[in-house]
Amino acid sequence: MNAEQRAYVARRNDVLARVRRVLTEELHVRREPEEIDPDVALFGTGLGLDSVDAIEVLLSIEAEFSVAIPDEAAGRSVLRTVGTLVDLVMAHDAASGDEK
Amino acid sequence: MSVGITGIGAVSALGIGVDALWDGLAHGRDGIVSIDRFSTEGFSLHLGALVPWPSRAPSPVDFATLAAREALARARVSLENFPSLAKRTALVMGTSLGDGAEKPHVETAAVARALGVLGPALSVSTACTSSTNALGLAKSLLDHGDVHLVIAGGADVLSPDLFAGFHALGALSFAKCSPFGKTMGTTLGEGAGFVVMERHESARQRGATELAWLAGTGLSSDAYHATAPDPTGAGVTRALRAALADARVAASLVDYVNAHGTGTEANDAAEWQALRAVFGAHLEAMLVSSTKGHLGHAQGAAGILEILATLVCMEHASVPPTLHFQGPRPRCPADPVAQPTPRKHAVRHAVSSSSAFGGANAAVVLSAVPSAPAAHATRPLRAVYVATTTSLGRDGLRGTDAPHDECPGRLAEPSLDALLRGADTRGLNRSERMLAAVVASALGDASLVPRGDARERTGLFLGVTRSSPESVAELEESVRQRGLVKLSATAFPKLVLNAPGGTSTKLLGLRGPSTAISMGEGSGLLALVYAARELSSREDADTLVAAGLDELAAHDDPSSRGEGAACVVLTVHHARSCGTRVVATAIGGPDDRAFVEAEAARAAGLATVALEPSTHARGPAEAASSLYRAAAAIARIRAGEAHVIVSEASPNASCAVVFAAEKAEVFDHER
Repeated sequence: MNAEQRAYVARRNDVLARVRRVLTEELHVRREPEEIDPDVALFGTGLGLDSVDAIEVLLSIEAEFSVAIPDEAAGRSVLRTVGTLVDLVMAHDAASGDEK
Repeated sequence: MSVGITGIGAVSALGIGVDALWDGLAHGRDGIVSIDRFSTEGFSLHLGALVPWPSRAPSPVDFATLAAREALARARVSLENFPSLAKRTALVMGTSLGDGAEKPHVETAAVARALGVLGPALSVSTACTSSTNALGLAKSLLDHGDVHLVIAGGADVLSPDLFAGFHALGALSFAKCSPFGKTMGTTLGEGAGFVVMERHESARQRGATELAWLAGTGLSSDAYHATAPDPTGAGVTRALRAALADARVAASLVDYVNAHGTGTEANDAAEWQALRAVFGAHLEAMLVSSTKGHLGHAQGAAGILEILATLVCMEHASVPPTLHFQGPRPRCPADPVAQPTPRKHAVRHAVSSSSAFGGANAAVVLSAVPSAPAAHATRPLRAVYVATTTSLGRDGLRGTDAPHDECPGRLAEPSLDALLRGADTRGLNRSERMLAAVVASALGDASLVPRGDARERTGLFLGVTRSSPESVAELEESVRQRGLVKLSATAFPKLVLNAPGGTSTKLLGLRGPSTAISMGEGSGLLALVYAARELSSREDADTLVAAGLDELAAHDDPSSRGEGAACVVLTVHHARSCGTRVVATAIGGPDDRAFVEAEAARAAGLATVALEPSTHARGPAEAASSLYRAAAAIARIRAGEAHVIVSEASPNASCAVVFAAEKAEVFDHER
């Protein structure tokens, strides 16, 4: 693993930890943060979030990571699992990195 | 019994006064404008139905006072010069969040003072059903004989927080609100509406003209979700059927329904399902429309303004149209009177329906004054028993025989997991947790946790005076961190005063009549009085939980104030009785404990009754303290006392209840 890959993994772990914190503290998910599997579904039988929470998830992620999520990016695929939320933030990192 | 409507008054986006309301409807105008009263910068839309008003910061008290004065003037009532009538006049005001400056009961008291009302001043706060719901409580005061006259209705203002909350929930429309039409979403509004109501014989005696009758009212809880309606429409169906049964009007005799019709996809589809369930093939012969295209969604004032729109059109032998209709929407009526101006249609019986956050539903039946009134036999009153009580204290929950004393400071955090196995309790605020704990415990102790059809006959009447401080703090924090445009969409709907009640009805499957009311101090006892009367005189519920709830905010002084969560389960099932009955109730004007105690004792046919003493002149827990004393009174009866009276008084109103041992000698029933 080269330095760039190590940095990517570290960043990904950091983002996952913060997404988990958003879910337990802002969305009141009643699990220990480390028990929230990256592949668990946000809605329905997964973490049990609902349509009102969907808005709160996006607003909380925007505030936590100081990113702006455009409406067209906030579709169902992004809100599928904890991991897809991490992907969203990582994709934003990559996009803003390109601009630099 | 039906009651007469003898005066009406309106402050709406169509202008000041009932004439402005009719003029707007008759000429196909709406009151929807681009909001200029506060900045809507950063929001994706800017429409609101604003009352044309000279000041930039109108309050619900301003709107309400003006509308109620018009209603009194049209009813030819002068309270200033007739103190004895003023003492026998009540104000019942429905408000949701108002301008956020004051608790609803404080606003209601301010309106009562401005009008010269000296009788009870009661608040109903069930979000967007508040003013529709207020008419039911008002009718109950007349039915029970507490007062001669009631001024009933509601008021709300379109505040920046309200706009931001609905915006965050994605409920607002980019175009003007088009109920049942192609464009989805609602437009917020504001205003006030009031009616003067009195019994038919009082109206006749003073030579007043009845404009119409309030024939029946109905309430229900969806027990489904904090903001989304039950998509099957079952909750609205129950409220409609309860109102029709109360009015003894068959569904096939209804000529017009003024629907809640907010314009949102979820509401309109669920409501149409309900109308199809209740009216079936008769929908072909009757008309359905929504006036939110004219007035926007005026929150706590929405129901009463829609009732007034219905009444002014009935007077002109017509029904209000639905504006801005650009073509039908799937799962909605094909023609919701889609035209610019009212449609000629004679109406004998009309229904108006409202739904709200917390799953609250309310409906009323309005009838044209019949030329030859049919004589209805009065229904026999049912005996009302106490099943159990539960109170929350510093060391947890206690049941019927050993109730807690109320105490200042914070209460124990109840454990919900043991009481509500498998229920989704994620994200509940402290008010929701405390209330769910006492209600679940009390129903459990009584073996009255409803299953199957019993759910529809079990409800929750809550006395509560303010929004949950925990959710208020969460909302304020989200605004501080992210700005008003991105305020917390999950905290916002938890601010409505009926939210904790709605959550308990959802967790426990209580789908029957539910409400949230306030008179400040004593609100819990008021909820008990109202619940006992509804069980006794109506047939749409068998068990009602009367509860009182107070949550302390972080900045409240815990040495002088206290939290409270207590409830009393009332039922008509004799087998569930704990040996105690509610034998009499009374409601009176502000700070008049002696009067309501004497009235209640008289109604019970008793010369002397033991009093449950008030431990504090003003209890540390505003809403709930009186129910801690009710629980103590019930325990005394279980310990051998024959009768105990519990009373409470506040600057809004006074109320009293007589509990009696089942074997004790009393008048068979009140009145």
